[in-house]
Amino acid sequence: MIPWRRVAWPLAGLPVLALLAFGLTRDARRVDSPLPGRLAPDFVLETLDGDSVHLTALRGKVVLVNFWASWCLACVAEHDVLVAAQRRWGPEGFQVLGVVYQDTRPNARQWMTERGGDWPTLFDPGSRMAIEYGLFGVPESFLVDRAGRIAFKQIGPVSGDALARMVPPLLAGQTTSETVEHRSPGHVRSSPEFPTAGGERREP
Amino acid sequence: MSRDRRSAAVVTIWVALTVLVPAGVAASQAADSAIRDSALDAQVQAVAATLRCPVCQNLSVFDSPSELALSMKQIVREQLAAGASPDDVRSYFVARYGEWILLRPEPKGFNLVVWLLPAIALAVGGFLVVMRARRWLRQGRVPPELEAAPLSDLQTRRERLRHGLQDLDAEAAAGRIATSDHDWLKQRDTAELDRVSEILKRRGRAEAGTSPAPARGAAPAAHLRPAVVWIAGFVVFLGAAALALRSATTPRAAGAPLTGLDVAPPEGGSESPANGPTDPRLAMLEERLRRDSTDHQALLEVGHAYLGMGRLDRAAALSFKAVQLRPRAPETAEAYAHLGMVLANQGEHEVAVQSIDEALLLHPDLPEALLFRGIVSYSLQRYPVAVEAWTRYLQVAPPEADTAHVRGLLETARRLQRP
Repeated sequence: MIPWRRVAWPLAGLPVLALLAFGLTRDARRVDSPLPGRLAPDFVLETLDGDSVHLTALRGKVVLVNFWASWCLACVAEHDVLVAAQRRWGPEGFQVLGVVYQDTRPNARQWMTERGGDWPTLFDPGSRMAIEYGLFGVPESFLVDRAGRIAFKQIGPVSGDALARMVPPLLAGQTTSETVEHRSPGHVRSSPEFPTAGGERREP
Repeated sequence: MSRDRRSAAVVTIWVALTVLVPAGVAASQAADSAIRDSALDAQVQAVAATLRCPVCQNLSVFDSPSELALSMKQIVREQLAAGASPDDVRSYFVARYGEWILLRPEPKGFNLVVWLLPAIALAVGGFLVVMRARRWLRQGRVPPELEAAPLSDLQTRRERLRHGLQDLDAEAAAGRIATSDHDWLKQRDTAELDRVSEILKRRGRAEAGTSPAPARGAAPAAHLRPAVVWIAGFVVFLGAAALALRSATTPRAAGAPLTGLDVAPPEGGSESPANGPTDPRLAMLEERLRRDSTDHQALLEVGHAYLGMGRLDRAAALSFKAVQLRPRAPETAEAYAHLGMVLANQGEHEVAVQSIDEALLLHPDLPEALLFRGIVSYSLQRYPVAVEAWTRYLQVAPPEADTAHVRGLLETARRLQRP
């Protein structure tokens, strides 16, 4: 017979341990985005050159919406990946759209001149589009399939490998209902510890 | 560095600040008043206080001074003004950020654990305490003749009670005795068995010499004492839990301080007493500065606090004053580092480098100076300098600093260093 009195207390502790084990094995920083699989929020935004870009007008292309800022360090390395991707898949219907996050036009213009890249650079007054896309920081990228659905969300700089894996199937017309979210180091939430902090950064 | 070059650097920094800071001040004040001036304020505050700021650590959208939070507050205001209900506004953000954005998750599904567990724990704990207490009280009523009985009598009695209880169960199982009678008899005999066993146990302990035998007359009191302690402890626990719950669930009043955090009141614009800093330590330091505007230590600390809040204009002014007062004091290194950070934020990278170099001349291992030097060098694409600065930073960083991010950046800088 089981000595219930002896085992009662350790048994009572088991649910607590189970709860702790469940909690401690999860990544507290991981936040699952509800966006992948849904239609990409539409926008009409002004470019550096004063034109405007309508996301819906790009339906049929595979679009990479990339949020970045000149004060974002990880965006430096990511930029070269984007240049290469646009050059490689551009003719097949791939389009990078850069959305500038909490930065000034002169900064953005200087950045694009220095580092190259011939895609539209969009301005997002009041971070409206950033909030529509549930942005936490920069860089963050959303890969939109030909049907206008978000197939992939990248938190942190997007890597060439990830694009090489994701873009060709999307170009081939595949749509993924898979909700994929990847993270990589270097993602900045413009936290107060960093010199990018504060509400001072506004359009001059 | 020569005296001339040093003063040249100070002049450059000064010029840069006088040009850049007023613009920032004007912009932030305009934004502040725009947010303040509305009849919707209370409702906006109520909703914004339930949303988590995506770019901060543990601040609500209402409390956060960050630009993104300001934009979110604006969206909350617009939607409420357009007739949306607070729940509609919350759903709007949940659809974009997930349930993470809610500071108080919906009480459904797995989240219910958070609501139910405390109640269950209290109920189970209370039940156990009551059971214990009842047993002690029952044992406390030991008849004096039982206490005085010889050991052998007690042992015999215990055996008899045990057998009696077994027989009782057998009788009940055979259906020869009514269930209610069985229960009543069993309860009575079990209680007596407990009492006898307890006395025997105590005598056994007394004989082994581990504890003195209790005085006979004092027996009930000795039994009652642990019960009283348990119950008193439980009541104290309940009270503490109730207090903690109340303070944890009461929404923070506008401008009230956040415990342990140097955070500005969300819309506090100037140093006027009504809008001034509400953090007690910061308030104390500000007071010291009002009495003596040359209090170097206070200048440094308040500058640091404002930097942490992202109020760069104020941080720059105070740090610059600290530099002017004692340009060569080792502790001024911190002020130079802060200035460097403000300047870098304004895009003045070259002047920022000068300021940070000043800091490192005065204090070669100042962690924040090393961190900022790395950041500025990185954005100037001087990767070897960034690698060197961050490597040293990681060696001297205070243990509580979150260095994971810097490690990540250092990796990238190392990769970029080699063409």
